[in-house]
Amino acid sequence: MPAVSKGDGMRGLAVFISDIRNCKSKEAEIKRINKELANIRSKFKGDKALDGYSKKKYVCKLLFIFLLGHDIDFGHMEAVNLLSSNRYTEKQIGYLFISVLVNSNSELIRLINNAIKNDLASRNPTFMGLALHCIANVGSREMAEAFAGEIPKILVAGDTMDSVKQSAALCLLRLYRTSPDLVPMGDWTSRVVHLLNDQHLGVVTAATSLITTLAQKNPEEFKTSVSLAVSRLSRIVTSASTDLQDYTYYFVPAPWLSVKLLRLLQCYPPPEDPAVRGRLTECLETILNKAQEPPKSKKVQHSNAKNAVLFEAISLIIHHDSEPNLLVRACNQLGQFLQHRETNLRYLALESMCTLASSEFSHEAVKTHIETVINALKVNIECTVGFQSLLPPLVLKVAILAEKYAVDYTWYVDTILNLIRIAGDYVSEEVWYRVIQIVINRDDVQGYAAKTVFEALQAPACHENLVKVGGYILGEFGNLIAGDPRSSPLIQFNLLHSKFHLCSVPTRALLLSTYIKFVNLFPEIKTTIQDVLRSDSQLKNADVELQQRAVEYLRLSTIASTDILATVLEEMPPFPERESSILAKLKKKKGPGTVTDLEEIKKERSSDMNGSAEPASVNASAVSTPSPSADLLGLGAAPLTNSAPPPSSSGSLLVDVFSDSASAVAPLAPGSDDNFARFVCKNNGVLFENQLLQIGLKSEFRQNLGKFPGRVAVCVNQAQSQCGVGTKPVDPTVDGGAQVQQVVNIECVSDFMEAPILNIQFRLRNCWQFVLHTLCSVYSVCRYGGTFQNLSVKLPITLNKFFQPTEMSSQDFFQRWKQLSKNFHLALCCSPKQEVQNIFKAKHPMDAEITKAKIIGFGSALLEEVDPNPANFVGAGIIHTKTTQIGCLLRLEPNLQAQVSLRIYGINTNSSLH
Amino acid sequence: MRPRECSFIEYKDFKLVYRQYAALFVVVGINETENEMAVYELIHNFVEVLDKYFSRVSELDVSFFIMFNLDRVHLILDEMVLNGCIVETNPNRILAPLFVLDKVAES
Repeated sequence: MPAVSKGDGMRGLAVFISDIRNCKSKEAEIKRINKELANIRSKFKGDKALDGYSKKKYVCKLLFIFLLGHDIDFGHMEAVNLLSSNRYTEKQIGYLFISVLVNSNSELIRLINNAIKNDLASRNPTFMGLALHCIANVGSREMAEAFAGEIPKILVAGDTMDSVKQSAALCLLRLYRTSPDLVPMGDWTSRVVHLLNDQHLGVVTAATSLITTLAQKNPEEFKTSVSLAVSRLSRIVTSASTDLQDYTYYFVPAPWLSVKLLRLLQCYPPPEDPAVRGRLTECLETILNKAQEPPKSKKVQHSNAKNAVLFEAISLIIHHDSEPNLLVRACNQLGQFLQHRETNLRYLALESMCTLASSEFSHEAVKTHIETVINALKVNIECTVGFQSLLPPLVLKVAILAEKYAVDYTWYVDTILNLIRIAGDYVSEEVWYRVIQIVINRDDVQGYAAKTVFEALQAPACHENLVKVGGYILGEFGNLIAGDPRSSPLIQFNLLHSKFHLCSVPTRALLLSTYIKFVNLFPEIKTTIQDVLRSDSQLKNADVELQQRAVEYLRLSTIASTDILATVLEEMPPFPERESSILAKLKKKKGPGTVTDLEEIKKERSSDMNGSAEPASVNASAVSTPSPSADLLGLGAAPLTNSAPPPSSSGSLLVDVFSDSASAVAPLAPGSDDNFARFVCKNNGVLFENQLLQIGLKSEFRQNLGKFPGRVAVCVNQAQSQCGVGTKPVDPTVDGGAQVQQVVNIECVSDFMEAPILNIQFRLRNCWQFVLHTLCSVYSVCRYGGTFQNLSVKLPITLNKFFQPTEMSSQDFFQRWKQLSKNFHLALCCSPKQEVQNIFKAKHPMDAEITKAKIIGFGSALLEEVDPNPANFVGAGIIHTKTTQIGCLLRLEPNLQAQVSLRIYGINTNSSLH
Repeated sequence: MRPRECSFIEYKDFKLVYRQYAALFVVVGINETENEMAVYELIHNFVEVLDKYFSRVSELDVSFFIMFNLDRVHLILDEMVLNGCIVETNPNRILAPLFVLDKVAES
């Protein structure tokens, strides 16, 4: 039997634990536990007051039972009593118990908070430490209320011990996370930043964690931490191994602290101060260099710790995205890791590579590594379960990378087919759908695809996904290679059919469709195919889908004339370009940092640049939420508000204007957001539509006034509804199918953030609604008797509606442009920001005409021939508000990779531009 | 550790980092803000600290010691990780309060 615990034994506990371990079966264990629970219960209820030691022992036993997995519903009172003991061990057990078994009984909470308060005030560092640990681990709202004011003081007080400072820092972090409103920024913030310079590295570690989280919400307050962090980091990285003594872990100096400092630096953009930036670059280069040097120790821990710092540094380099040579070095380092023996490194390298792929500077470097990635997959296929679960997202990422960097689509087709061949099991459907979409959309690659697929299918053991892709492509484009005697129609058919019986039902279904397409493309083999379709195994197949297809295709091939057959089986038209479904799938899986995360980071970045906008008079629209980014041209335009008439009680702009019961504004109707986005660049259309109501919109804007003759069409058959709406009194009763016109006048007082909400309330009386489902010939009847309908939709009034186009010559434009960009850079440290720069990937291929039309629709004048680069689009306009006029210059710069940079400058000293 | 296995597993919307020591598995769940390799080494650091404290014992018995000295193990863990953040990695500093505690208890 191993030795029992040192010091004050608690032998009873040890005995109990040995008993449990010796239990042969689950029932015996439960019996023993219940016996003990009964014992403890009686002891707690007993008349004799328990001494500290016994209490401690029993509470500890309860804790152990809880950790075994059984619920404990008593003992909290005793644990709380232990808190007030003076002995450290008893206190510790008490705190341990209440941290693990959190109880929401308010009486107990009060007692606990009291005990904590006493301990905090006690000035005894160990007791303070225990109390702080408890707050940090539990961090309930009540605790936050009680202690949020005190903790910062403890943290920055000069006489606090280091260990207490550590705990206080993380305690504050916890409270900030759970109740940020209770932790206001104060003058303690600058002192916290100075903790980064502390001698005690533990304190620095704790402070870094705290600052990282605080800086994410209040970046301005903690800006000074950047230079301190950089100098600390470079001191650590360049230190000799004897300097840091205990913090050196297997010859790596303070790895965890270095990782944390690098994380902190990722909260901020690259430092502007050239000295700081130089130091940081040096530091990163040192880290990259160390990776190339021979290792100081053979132990795996040394290389792991070194690599931890290295990966974090690479992450920072990617985030800054500003030093090309660092990026290239990082990329090459990752490429080396992709071929490393250790799986962990390969996995992490692949993840980092995906994030790196979205940076501007490293395209070439990344491309060379794509081949390595595919080969890496080959090596990893036979791995154990742990890795296999990582493969599907990896495969998706590889597919995304391949598509992004494919200059030549034949290469892309090759790569994806390779991917399917190697990692076939893990290729999700989206990947091969995508390759087919691309092949269909691009004429030039169709013949090549057909040929490649044909050759790939000839391999003796083909993965089923390859059969699917091959079947589809040959069905569409087999005619392109039919001229070659080696790939004649009959050979193609036999090739596919040889795999037929090895495939699952969905693949067979796809192949049957291919066969009928062959009947159309190659009439000479029609009879062969018909024989196959006619065979019993198809016509009497157990699977309904296969049987149906076989029967119908057979019939079709028999009775249809060649013309009809040709029409039915015409080649697939090109797919409309939409967001890659792969990206959508990746977004759905809440995976680690992927391309989509980076899109979000970019959106965050651009909204960072928008700065904190201060609209002149805020219309606190209670229900309005920021609109989704208007995705025309992918403009990540922040939402805008109208700050015209003073807010009414329920917050909606138009409730004042519209009489009637100002009942609670309904939340925004679903679907109202989609249409909203369309209205940024145009003025007419349907704003909202549902079963009961259609709201159309026609608007005109002039300078700072806008007119809104909205149409409210109730298009329900035989409905009688009552619309309580109107600036001018409306027919109280509106017949179904009628249109009601409302004119709304809007005045733009100042620049604004969010769109106003239109709230419509109406009641339907005796409404019978017949809904005709033509497809399945079913009449369904629903009755909305007397229900009060309350709808809210956002009015598409955005700042750009008040744009007045202005003409300008090229010189004028660029003169102002340069001046504004200079102003911008000077004024960078303090807001107001006057520039919005958005670099994004265009959702659609850039079509010049459409872009021009959209720019005009946006409201600015399109200045032709102004920009020296003919591919760029330039616009100018003045936003008229009642109080100010804001001149705006707009420049859209697409580059070859269909990434677009949009910059908008505004001339107005006291506004920030959205 | 066989070179073919990967120690990081994606589970639901976070990641698991695990490390195996004979019959003992140490598993840590992290979200995407953490550096995986750093956590991996943290596990090793933790086991090393435990080892230092129960110095007479070889690695095989670590699991026994965790069971019978749960409170001490929690103390050590509390010194190292607080509110999900790494706060101290220096073995001497972590074990200092425990050694003091032992001394007080013995006397």
